[in-house]
Amino acid sequence: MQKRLRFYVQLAFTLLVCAFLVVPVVLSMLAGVTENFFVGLSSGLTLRWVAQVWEMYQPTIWRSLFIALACLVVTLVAGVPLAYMLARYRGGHSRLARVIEELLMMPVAVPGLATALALIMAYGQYRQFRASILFILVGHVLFTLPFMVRPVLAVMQSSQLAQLEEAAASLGAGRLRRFFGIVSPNAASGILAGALMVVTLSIGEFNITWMLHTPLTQTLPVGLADAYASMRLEVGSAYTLIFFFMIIPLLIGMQWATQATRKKVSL
Amino acid sequence: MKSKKEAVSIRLHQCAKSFANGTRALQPLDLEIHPGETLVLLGPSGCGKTTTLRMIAGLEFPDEGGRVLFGEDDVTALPIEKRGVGMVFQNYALFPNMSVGENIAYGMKIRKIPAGERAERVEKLLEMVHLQGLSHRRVDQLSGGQKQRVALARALAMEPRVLLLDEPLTALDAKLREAVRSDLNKLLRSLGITAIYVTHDQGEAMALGDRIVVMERGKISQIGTPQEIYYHPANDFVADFIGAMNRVQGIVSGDRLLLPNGSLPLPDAGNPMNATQQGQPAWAMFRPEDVQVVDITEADAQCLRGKLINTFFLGDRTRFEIEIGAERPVIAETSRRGWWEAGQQIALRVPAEALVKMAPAAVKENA
Repeated sequence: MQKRLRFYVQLAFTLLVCAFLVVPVVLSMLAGVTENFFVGLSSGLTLRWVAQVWEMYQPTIWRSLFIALACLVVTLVAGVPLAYMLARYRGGHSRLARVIEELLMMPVAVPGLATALALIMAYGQYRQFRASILFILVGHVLFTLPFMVRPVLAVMQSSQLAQLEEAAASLGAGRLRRFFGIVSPNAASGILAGALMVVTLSIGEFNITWMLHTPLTQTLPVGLADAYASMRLEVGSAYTLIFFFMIIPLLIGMQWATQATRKKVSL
Repeated sequence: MKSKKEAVSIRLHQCAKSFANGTRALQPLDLEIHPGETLVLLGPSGCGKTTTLRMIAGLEFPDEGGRVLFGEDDVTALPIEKRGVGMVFQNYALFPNMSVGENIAYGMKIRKIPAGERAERVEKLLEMVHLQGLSHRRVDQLSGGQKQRVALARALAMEPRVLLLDEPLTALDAKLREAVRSDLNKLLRSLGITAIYVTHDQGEAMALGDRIVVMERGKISQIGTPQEIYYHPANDFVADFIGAMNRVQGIVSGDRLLLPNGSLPLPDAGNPMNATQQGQPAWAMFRPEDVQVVDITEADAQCLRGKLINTFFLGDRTRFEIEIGAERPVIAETSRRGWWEAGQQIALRVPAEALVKMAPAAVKENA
């Protein structure tokens, strides 16, 4: 009897915590499709706000997606070989490699505003670069690179992968061929995990981007702040709704891909 | 699939290995491996056998001054991919992103052998390791024994000058180990390839090695044929590491070694094994299977008397532990159906020719 009671108390508590977390999300999504949020749902449902956001902020959505994908490409091209180098340099016992690994984490620890300020001070005078979307991309790469390098490095440091590489070398494969033919395919689970983080973080990144953006290089989160600050609450909420619809399928898709690779290549 | 190339000899000259933190894994070591020979590096973990193998492979490089030679070629500075060795690893190291056939063909693809010829050779190699028709299987669909056969086929695909095997059977269960070992033995003999085999299992070493190198703490303890190692161990470590060994201490008197409960015959004074002096204490060593267990009623003056403290029935033989008033009980093994029971008085006889080692007691080690 007491056991049952304890179970229900625990269940109630869990549901309460869940509700605490989920209610704001639901409320926000509802607000985006409500005629007048202050009147309540009785004012009726509408897609008017969603349409308005789509019309006004569509470029920020495409821009955010573009930056996220560009960021992914850059972190893949730079991060995966970097992780490989960090894992293999001096047989993996290099202190220098550990130092670089820690330095890579710096932009995560340092407030985004500071990183952005440093970028502006250093490169602000190059007007074209400053005004282009590339400037924001640089900020995003700085911030997301460690999230690519870390999981890839973890896989590459595994003794199994090191042994696969030794086996490939014994069969005559040089370093480049080993990297592309053996190391990268078998580190796919780490690479995909990193990619998932990079895309997610880039799409949601606000701190650095807010400092770096110009009216012509607004991204989705910056636009969201703009909408909250200067427009009806319903518009901001509709914006959030669009963000959800964009990011959730993307996350599910990448999660699925990660699972699939993990099953295929069981390292 | 006979190797077309001539088998090559391998020489290590003053090869030492120290690691970055200063520990010395390997003392300067000289070793010559004859062309076509299967040499086993045997020893407990941490003895330097794997480091030696990896130096031959080109995965580790000897300290300054060490040289590795394949035949007349000095390969000391060459990395593994330039040495033309085949290597088989303990955990198979098959590429999970490739099929069985692709794994075996990997080396041929690097050497740009045309696809048609590759496929043909893959089939031949699969046949050689009894895995016909598995070319398209995924690696994770194979059993442990099959995986190791694929690894072997892959290592042999480019007809390497040298085959290196790093504890290849350790990950397999006992039954499978026997089967793969027997196949491996046949294969190594028929290929006539120079092979180096690392193991900590003395049974494996005996079965596969033309010669065995017993290693201890970064040094070679003994090099010899399995028979030499087993019957004439160079020191206590080898004697204890290879098989079970009895060791008793007594006083030399005439042609016998006197013990508290009897005596053992000594080999002739001229025998090089007999480095003892009259009236001095000495050690004698002998194998359990060379001990003849005798009923106490049949015991004579040539026997050693003791009390049976334990019997173990092992199926094909029985092991007795006999207390003879020495440091350690004597172990005897016999395939004869035993009728003695623990607690009984018993006698044993050890023929002079069975004493594998005689040493004056004062210089116990490294005689």
